[in-house]
Amino acid sequence: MKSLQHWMLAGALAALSAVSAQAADIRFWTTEEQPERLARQEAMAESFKSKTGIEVEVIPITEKDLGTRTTAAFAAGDLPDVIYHTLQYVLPWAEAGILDGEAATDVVYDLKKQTFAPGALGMASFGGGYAAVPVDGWTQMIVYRQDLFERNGLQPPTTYAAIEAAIQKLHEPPNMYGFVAATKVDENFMSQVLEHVLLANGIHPVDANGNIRIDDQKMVEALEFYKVLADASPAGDLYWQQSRELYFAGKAAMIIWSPFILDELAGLRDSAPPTINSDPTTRELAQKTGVVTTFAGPSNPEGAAWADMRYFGITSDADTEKAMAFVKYCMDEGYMNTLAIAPEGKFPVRRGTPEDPNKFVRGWAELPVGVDRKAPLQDLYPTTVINSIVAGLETASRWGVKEGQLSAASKVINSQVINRRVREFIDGERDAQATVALIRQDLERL
Amino acid sequence: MREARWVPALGGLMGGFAASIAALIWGLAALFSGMDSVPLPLTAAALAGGFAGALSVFRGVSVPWPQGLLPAWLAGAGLFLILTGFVPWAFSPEQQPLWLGLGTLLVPGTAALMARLGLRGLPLQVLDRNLLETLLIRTLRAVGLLFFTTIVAFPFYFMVVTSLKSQMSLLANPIDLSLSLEAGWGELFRAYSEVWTTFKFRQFVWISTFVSLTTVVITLTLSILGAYAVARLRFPGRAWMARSILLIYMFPAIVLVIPLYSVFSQLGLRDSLVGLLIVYPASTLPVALYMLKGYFTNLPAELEEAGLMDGCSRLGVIWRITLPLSLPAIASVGLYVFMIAWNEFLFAFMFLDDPSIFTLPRGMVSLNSSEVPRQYLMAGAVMVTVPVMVLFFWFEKYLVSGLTAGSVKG
Amino acid sequence: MRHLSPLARREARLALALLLPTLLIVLSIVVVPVLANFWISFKPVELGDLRPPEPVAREQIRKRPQQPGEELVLRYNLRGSNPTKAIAGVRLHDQLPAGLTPQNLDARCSVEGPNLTCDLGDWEPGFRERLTLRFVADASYLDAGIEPTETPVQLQGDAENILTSFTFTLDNYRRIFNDPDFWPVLRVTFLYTLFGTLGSLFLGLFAAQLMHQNFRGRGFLRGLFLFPYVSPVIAVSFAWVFLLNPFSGTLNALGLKLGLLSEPLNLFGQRVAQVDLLGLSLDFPVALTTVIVFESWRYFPLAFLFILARFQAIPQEMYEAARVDGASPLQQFYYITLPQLVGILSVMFLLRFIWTFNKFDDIFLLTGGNAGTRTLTVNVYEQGFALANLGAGSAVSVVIFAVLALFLLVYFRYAPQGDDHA
Repeated sequence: MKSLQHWMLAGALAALSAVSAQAADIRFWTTEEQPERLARQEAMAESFKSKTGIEVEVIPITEKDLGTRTTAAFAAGDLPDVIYHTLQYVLPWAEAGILDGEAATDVVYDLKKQTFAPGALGMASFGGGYAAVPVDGWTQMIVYRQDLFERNGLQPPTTYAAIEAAIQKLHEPPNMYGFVAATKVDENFMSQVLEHVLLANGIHPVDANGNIRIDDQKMVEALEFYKVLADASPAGDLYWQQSRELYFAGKAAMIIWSPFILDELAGLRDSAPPTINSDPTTRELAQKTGVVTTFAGPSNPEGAAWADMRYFGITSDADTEKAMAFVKYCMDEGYMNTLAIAPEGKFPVRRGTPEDPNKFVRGWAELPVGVDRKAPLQDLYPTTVINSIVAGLETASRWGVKEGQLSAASKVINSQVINRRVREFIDGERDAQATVALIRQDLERL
Repeated sequence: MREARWVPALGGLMGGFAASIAALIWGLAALFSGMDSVPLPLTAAALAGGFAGALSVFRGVSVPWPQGLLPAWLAGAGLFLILTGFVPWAFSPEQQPLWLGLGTLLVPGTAALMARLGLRGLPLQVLDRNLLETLLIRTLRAVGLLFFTTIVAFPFYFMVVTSLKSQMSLLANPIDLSLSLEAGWGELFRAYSEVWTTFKFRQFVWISTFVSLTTVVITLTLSILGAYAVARLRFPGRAWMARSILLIYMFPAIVLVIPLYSVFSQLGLRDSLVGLLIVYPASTLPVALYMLKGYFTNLPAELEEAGLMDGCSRLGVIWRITLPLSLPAIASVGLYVFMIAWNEFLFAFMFLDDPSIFTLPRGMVSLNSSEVPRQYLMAGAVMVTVPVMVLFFWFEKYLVSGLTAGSVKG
Repeated sequence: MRHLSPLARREARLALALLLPTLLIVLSIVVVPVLANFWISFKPVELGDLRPPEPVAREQIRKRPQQPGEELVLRYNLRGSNPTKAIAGVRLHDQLPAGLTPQNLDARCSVEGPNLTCDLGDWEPGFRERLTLRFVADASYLDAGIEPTETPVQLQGDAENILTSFTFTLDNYRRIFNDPDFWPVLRVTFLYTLFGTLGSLFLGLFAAQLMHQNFRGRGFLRGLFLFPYVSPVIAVSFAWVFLLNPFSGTLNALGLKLGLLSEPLNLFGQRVAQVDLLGLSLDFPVALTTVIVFESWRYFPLAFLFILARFQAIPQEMYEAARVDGASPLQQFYYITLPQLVGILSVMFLLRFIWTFNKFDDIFLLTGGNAGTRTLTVNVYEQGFALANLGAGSAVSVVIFAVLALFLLVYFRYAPQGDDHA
């Protein structure tokens, strides 16, 4: 069988030699698949090659498919060498044997542990080392129409109550939706938004022993609140795309989005232009916009912010030496280029080098954002806005981090159980109490 | 021949209806061209059209009334202008004189023409059920043709136009389906050049072509042999075989996915073109065999027997006699198999992870990710569709007979 | 075959030889996998389990000798590829360059010439070890400049392959039948199949009526009408999704502009809409209806072709006779045309019914099975891949198989004999 298979492969390869690309030394999967960002990463691979002679093939993977495709590749024994992925996969993948934690740990120690932000490293801590190398992070924001809030005498949306009050006042469909909630259950985006909303009311579904722990009252409050958001949104499956389109058209008062929106919001990207007026390069909307990263529910007055971290994972099928060299390059010499892929959504988690401990933080602040036009962030937004975004990263949390149960929490998120049940609740299939009970039951079954 | 009194009334009725539809189409066309034209003066159009329709079929004797299309046409247009206060469309006449003029002429003109055509060749002496039903059917037929042409052509028109616009103008006014040449040809086809090079569609086209052609060759070779055996040779289980061929191709591909995925994963065939080239012929073979069997059975057996007498082997007979005789059938089967392989989505999607061996449909899926502007996707869609369309129109005769003969898998 | 004449036997042998490649390929790629679903559906197998557990080692040089007589430290980081599975009888094999003498060699390892072999025994699930080996390097090693890491490490070990083992479970069936979504999925499947089939037949009948008459441009229009069917589903589904996009799609914008809609409709995303009809409030499945309309649109050309072919086979004399008898056009249609079509319509209905039931691509691309459009076929993908539970996916496949077998029974019972419907 083996030899037959090889023979067939050889035949196909010969036939295909005209079209197939030459196999690279290492393969790099990335979720940053926008053409401009991809081009930057390819340029980086090119400069890495000219330095080391190691060829890197940059392969874009849709973020939604990343989990399935990686598991499939693991099953088939053809994992790529390096994967750029989000926090939610770090520990589950390390436990499934997909990631080679020892290689990642070696990279972190070679680059000096103290140059990394401790929070980001801590979230990847696994078996005495690190499951993956932290690359960058961002905080989720409520983007809102400051002009409308001020005109109507509304408080900034920093609490459940303030948001509900604003919806009451501003929701006038179809010209203005009070909010655009996330309701498409198979999108990561919905998990992110929900986790943020639940965290704001102090809900941490996994306790320090890895058991499911859901406070009924807090959860019911959060569900009822989310239903208010959903009722103030258009019908149907919504995710980041509709949020942005409606907000850009001036038809939404509040949305939840990542800082990646900041450049296109200021009219710097032609493929996602603000359509609030006839000028696609307008900065009008940016000037009318305020952002909030920390908001609070009634049972959790201090509130919470939500951050995502991104990591380079070195896989267990990797050509380890070469993969490590590539990751080191991207985190050291090439780190400014890594951040420059989209600085508005990539805050540095490696702050500097041992010699110059603030090098990268300094450099990042000066990086211009935008695609078709470029400008540094501070030219586009008031300092207060930028400060509040960056400050969020310090206080931001995630389920399972405080409890040391990130892995269990990641499984809760990846199962999308909460998404599905919340959507059913929004659609009116059952009441809040029953939904909480069902969520608890579903999660315990995991 | 003198026509009955009620004929102008029928003409008016048809004319009014035709004019309303013409007005509707014209208004929509103006909207799709980026005009700001609403609402449509349907009542006015119907009245003017009815007038023009009545005139076009009226041949009164007592009054020297103008006859023929042109006068009816002009009279209808005049009435139309009067009824709408000289502004038949919501956009102002200064801005769009061309649209205004064309619309004014087209609406009554269509009405007059339709009334004439609708009543043509009918026995107009008696107003009976037969006549009314014929009129109804003619009207339905016209409306039906319009309806089907629209629902079939519009999505494709939309696809092409979208691929030639920019994301900005798409979002700014989704109704505007007109094209602008202001930025030059390069800008117009920018999505195509981007998709072709940056998104590697050039490579996907080659791979799709290679995979589809190889599938055609394998499937044809094997199915010709098999179909010949089932059609001509006697062997135990032949009838059973002929039946189960059809049975097999009623199984959904999705049922095969999990087992094939598991086994191919363990054999290392999953993320490879070899895997696809095993699966595609397997899924097209039953259909091809079934189609060819039907054709071979109808070929006269005498010729082959003569060949056998002359000392040809069976394979020789197939090669020298059966094949040349059945070239049209083979062409239609080949085209049909090509179409299936070219359009195949499920296995390409499930099996392929490596962009260097993506087929076009798989490449389209990967293009459909978060942030790729819409016109790129539509440009990709046009690229996947055009080869099939060209082949289809080129060989329509063969393909249609192939489709009917094989009662194609859906 | 024993009672056949030699000639007939030769003929049968030839037939078999001609059919053999087809039979083999169809058997191994279609028939066996269909049956394999039964096997897999009783196994606790997840996507990640497809990879048989295997030992993995990473080889590293921890210390490099600079002078002859100095020490070289070689480390193998050992683990199983799947931390939840055990591996038995693991053996490591590597080639060492010349000029290295082992020091205090680990008891499990031995060096013979250039060959290093370690007998690592049985590994528990989650096993990890750092195997450190020390060597003294002499001048020949330093001269050659070849490092031990340049040859690949080879590992062998026995582990259970879940696909071929004899572990069985009923969990998959329990799981899919206990899923509260199971019955809704079944219901959606039947609604989609039934109305999709009827819709495409109805449109096809209508279109065939239109084309059953000579007029200029008829050939072109007939070609055009086949477009939805022959063009790739991936292209037309994206076009539809964009056309109907609630916020930036042409049709919604048009509806709003003309005042036909007060709010954009999310035709592919909205599960139900409340419809008030005669004082009754009904739940109208929006997304399901949209995919049914798409299905009817995409497959009417097939019905159209068949019905048109049948039309053209109806003898004209029948109509002439009817006309002489004074039958009106609608009467002619009802009494002559329809009876002639019953055969082809019922065959088409059965065939389309089965194929619509089998359809996966269309719904998957249009809605991903969300918003109340998940059919059984989409559920196979959902269970097997989105939730990564291959066993449960196979169990759904078995359900599909069972339903299909029922349909086929009906089909072969009622389909005209001789397969001459085409």
